[in-house]
Amino acid sequence: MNIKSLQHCSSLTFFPKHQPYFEFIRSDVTSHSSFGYAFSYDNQLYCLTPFDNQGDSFPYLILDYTKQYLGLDALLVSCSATCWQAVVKAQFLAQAYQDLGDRKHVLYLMPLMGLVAKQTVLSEYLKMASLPSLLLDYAYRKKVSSKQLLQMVRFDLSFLTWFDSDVLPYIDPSCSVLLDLCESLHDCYQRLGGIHLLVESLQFDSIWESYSDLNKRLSILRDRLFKQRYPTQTYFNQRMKDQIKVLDLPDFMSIDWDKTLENKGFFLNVHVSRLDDLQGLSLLSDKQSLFETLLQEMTYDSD
Amino acid sequence: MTQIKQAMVDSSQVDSELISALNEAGIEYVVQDDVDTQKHYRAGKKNLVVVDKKGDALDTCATISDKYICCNVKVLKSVSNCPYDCSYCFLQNYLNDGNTKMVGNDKALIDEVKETCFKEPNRIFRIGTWELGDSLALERETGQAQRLINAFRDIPNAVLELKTKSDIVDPILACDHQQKTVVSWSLNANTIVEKQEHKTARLQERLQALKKVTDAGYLVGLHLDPMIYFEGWETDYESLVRQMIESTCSSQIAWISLGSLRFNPEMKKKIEMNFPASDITYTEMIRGDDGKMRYPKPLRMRMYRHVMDVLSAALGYDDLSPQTGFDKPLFYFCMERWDVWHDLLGSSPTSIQDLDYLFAKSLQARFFTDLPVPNPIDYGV
Repeated sequence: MNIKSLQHCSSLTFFPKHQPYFEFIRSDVTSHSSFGYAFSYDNQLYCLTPFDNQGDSFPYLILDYTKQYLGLDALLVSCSATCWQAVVKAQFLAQAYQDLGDRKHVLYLMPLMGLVAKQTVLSEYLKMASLPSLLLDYAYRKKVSSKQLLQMVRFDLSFLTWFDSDVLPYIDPSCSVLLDLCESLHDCYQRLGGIHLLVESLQFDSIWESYSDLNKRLSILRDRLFKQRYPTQTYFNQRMKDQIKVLDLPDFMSIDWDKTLENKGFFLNVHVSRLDDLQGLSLLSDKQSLFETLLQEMTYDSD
Repeated sequence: MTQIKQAMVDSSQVDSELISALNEAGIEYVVQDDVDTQKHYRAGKKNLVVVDKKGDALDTCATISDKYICCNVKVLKSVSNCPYDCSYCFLQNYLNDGNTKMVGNDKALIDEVKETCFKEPNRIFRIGTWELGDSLALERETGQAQRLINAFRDIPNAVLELKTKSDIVDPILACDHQQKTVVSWSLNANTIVEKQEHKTARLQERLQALKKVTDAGYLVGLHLDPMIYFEGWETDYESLVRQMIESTCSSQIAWISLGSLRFNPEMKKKIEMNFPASDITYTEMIRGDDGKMRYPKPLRMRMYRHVMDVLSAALGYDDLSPQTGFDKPLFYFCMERWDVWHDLLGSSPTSIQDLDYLFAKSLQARFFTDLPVPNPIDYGV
């Protein structure tokens, strides 16, 4: 984009149609301390640089622009839009689509943000922008990538809206945990057949009320969710634990097994640190029938 | 009614029999080399591209893993992509080119099959054309299965398996197959056929087709795979088993397989995007040792047990194990663990090669008594 001139001006206002864009790009642009950008529209100069205090006679580089695009092209260049976070790009494109009313015009702006000008890419970004507000804030705060945002938008909007208002305000997960949480909740929501059934089964309020620590809340929620999402594993692993309790093994022996239940069998761990421990190995033959029962448990033929 | 909207033929294939079949079926085509690839698997389902055979077309079924027993069947890649649209189909995450491509050069395909089979004359090869598509879905238009049936008739140690979800069997009924072709169906509970297997023949239509090929003397194969969990699965699968056995003759059933829903982890998102109304991805699943998502073993075993009980009763055999005699249809699990075999059938093959050998023993003992008795050494057992 061409720079037309350098001018010293004071107290330039923003172009009125750019106002909504500054709502979400203000905090994502690099602030230049020594100069600003502006453009001239109908013989009036408008500021393109979102900083608060402009002194008298401040230097502005006046940018060329395309009137058809309302100067958004100049705005993108002046704000180094290629460095923006994915969520800001998405919100900008959604606003531009609303203002320009034509996807072709919006496509023109995309390379100025470092994006490929393709309809499919535009559709993806427009979807990202439609995420509920707290999720958008979250995406900004946690610098969520476009790939991760795309994973979020594949869930039902009604589910996301509920998650945004009833779950997200009470926890502060990392992005990978949030995606895993959404996936698990969404699976259970679909399986149970509605939000109210999901809420009933997981008892969110009791978690929020009982624990103030955000990490603790998250950990309790994930634990409950695991049981809901993996009922078969939970049930059969508990049966294994119960059987192992019956074995009443000494402290230096423990049993481990594949908790996904795929691999049949168990590992019997013996930590020998004293001669007495070796004598305790006779337990193995004494309890053989109980070990057999444990193995039998892994044929899953009783339930 | 044809399922092909557009046909394109590589210039090297214009004299092939497949083109004569297209002409007979009234399918118009254009001769065009280097057809653009279709990025989305769905976009190319109605495009038929007739191509030359490139590289090896005969391979081993691609699902081999050392933790799960595979049957070591060979696959002839004569077609890729399929007009049907099953929600669980792996092709949606596999094909680089969504065009439905069919090899026009049958002779080259058969020559490769013959070369492989003649190198090991003491083995019986099972060869299917279903790995990347449906063996019969385009038979009315292309006639490829008929030509393969005729060719396999003359290969002493090979059996062709045509696996389908269609009911398109009329074109093959008059073939002189001499029981060297096994026409098999991928069958599922009616609920699954209706909700997940889009554009395929309905269950009753498949069963009628099964009856037709049985009456035409073909050997048949029955694949209850992938079994899918849903509310009411027990009665639906019970009904399926009874109906399928009633629709054929047990002495003509070459094999019966069971398998459960499984897919690569990345398929979950694909299925949810391509089939938003499908609920098959929401059931509890674990990641198996082969990296694929599948139901947890207790659930799989519960489903298998139930179906096996009904199957035993319907067939009149208490013991379905392929290791306890060759007087019955060969029953096997597709991609299941050794211990699942053991716990449900009392024993398991010792290796993939052993299962391959059991197939050969069963085929020879039941249908090809003029062939020498298979020797385990020839199968690497």
